[in-house]
Amino acid sequence: MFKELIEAFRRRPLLNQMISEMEQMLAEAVHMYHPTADVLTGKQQLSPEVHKMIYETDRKINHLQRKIRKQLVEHLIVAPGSDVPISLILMSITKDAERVGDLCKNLLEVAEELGGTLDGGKYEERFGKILRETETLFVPTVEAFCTSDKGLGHEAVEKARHLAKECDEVISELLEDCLGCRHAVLFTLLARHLKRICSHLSNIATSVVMPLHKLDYFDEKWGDIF
Amino acid sequence: MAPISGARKPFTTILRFVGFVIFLYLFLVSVRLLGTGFKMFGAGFAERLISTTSNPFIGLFVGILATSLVQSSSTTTSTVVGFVASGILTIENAVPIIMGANIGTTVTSTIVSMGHVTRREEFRRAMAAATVHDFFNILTVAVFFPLELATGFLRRVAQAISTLMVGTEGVTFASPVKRVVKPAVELVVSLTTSIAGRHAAMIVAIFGVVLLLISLYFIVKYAKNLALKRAEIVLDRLMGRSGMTGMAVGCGVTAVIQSSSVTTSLMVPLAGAGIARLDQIFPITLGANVGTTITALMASLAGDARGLIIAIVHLLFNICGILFIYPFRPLRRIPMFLATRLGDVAAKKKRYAALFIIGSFYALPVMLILLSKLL
Repeated sequence: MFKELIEAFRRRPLLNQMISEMEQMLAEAVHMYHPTADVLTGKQQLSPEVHKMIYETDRKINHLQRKIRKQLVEHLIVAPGSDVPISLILMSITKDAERVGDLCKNLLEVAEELGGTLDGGKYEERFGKILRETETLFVPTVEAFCTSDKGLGHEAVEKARHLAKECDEVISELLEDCLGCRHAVLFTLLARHLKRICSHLSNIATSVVMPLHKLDYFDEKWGDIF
Repeated sequence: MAPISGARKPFTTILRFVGFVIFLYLFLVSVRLLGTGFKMFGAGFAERLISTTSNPFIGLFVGILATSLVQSSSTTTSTVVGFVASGILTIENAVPIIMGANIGTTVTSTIVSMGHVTRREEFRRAMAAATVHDFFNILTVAVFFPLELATGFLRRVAQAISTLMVGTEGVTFASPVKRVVKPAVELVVSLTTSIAGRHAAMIVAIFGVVLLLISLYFIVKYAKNLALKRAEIVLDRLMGRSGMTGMAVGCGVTAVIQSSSVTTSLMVPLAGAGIARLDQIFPITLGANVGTTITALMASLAGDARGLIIAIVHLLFNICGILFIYPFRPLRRIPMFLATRLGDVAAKKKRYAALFIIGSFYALPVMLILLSKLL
């Protein structure tokens, strides 16, 4: 017991622990997205190992979210000091990170329904491009969060906007197309899931560039003021 | 995103520590001044005080009422230590007041639980978490108050321990703290006597009370600022472990912060939010009971062996309460059961919560004091 007490006293402040855990959540989300995108673009075979890994990582992310929430309540009750805004930001963006994890799982489910890959056609190229670009969106988002770099934050928000627009365009094309029901549904889901991933990553990036009450919304003018 | 806090500025920490030490010194001065001031009223005052508190029931209710009013058992126990050390209150008469202070101090967390009143489930949990401390302390008093009246065992054991530590009762033990405090006390007394003449006693006593309240307020404030960042890590890591760990956490956090009310009041919103269960909070509140006795022990350093004895009684009473109730599951369940039931009832009819607070901590003690006086 004494050892536990000493160890607890040596630990970093709770808020710093939560920030690290949030970074870990994002790292795990990246860890989920890569193999899923690789499966969809045909770089990797769909296998039970990939399936197992994705679901296990998702559980890890969910566990981290619950842990951070608990710590946030403890921190806000015991020693909030001037940490109320950052605590509320964390409460909000852990939800985004958790949703990214869930959506990666949903992408894999679409891949499984598609039998592994996008399998030829014009949509393979469109989705391949969006999937690769979304992959590059993770980097500035995670770095912007970890380093509080506003420049990277802006970059991530802009990139996410552009990708969301592309996803909407794909859905418009699907509406005009004469695809079979199965593929139409799966491609629509794929476009929606990718758009949601971009939106949640954008939400995380807004925490760097926007004040608390404007979290999840990007306003260029406000960004200039701050 | 804003830069992360937690990297506390060392200068602020040093300032807080210096502030803590200064107010700790003023606290010790105030305890001594309190005793000296009331002693200056003369033998008549001491006799009246002793005769008023000679009825142990009055002593008990005075302890409950005084502590409920100031919402700090540390204030009551330190005052009692100061009175006992200066001889204006006997150890025998002081014991029930100390026991009453233990009940009175629980009012703060119960009032804190009222903050959750708008959300029924949250309020139910918060009320139960707050009142488990109340019921435990009432149960402990119900057992040890008659036992102490019949045998005086707490006083005897405390006397024996004190004798081992500093010598026999009435001996002025050579505490270095006392040597440091003495010049300030003498300065205040001589200045007041030269300025106020025959009113000096009253001014010294009032000054002692005010200084005690102010110094305790700032001690708790600085200690909170210094320790809460660590306390939240300890709570996060160790809450919900074994009962012993919970008690150690409660005792440690309270001993550092110098206020059981702060520790127990922190537990209430945690319970309300559903972060901690009643059985996890219970041992922490018991630890807080023990941790808070450090204030009276510190106060006793400014007095003589009699002050030390009453401070040890406070410590022994709380340890005995834990040893008597906590290890036995059926006994341990009594305060938890009562608190849960009260939580259920209060969540349904909120007026019962207000009734419990006003009745138990204010109305009942006042009525019983008046009744004891009349009889």
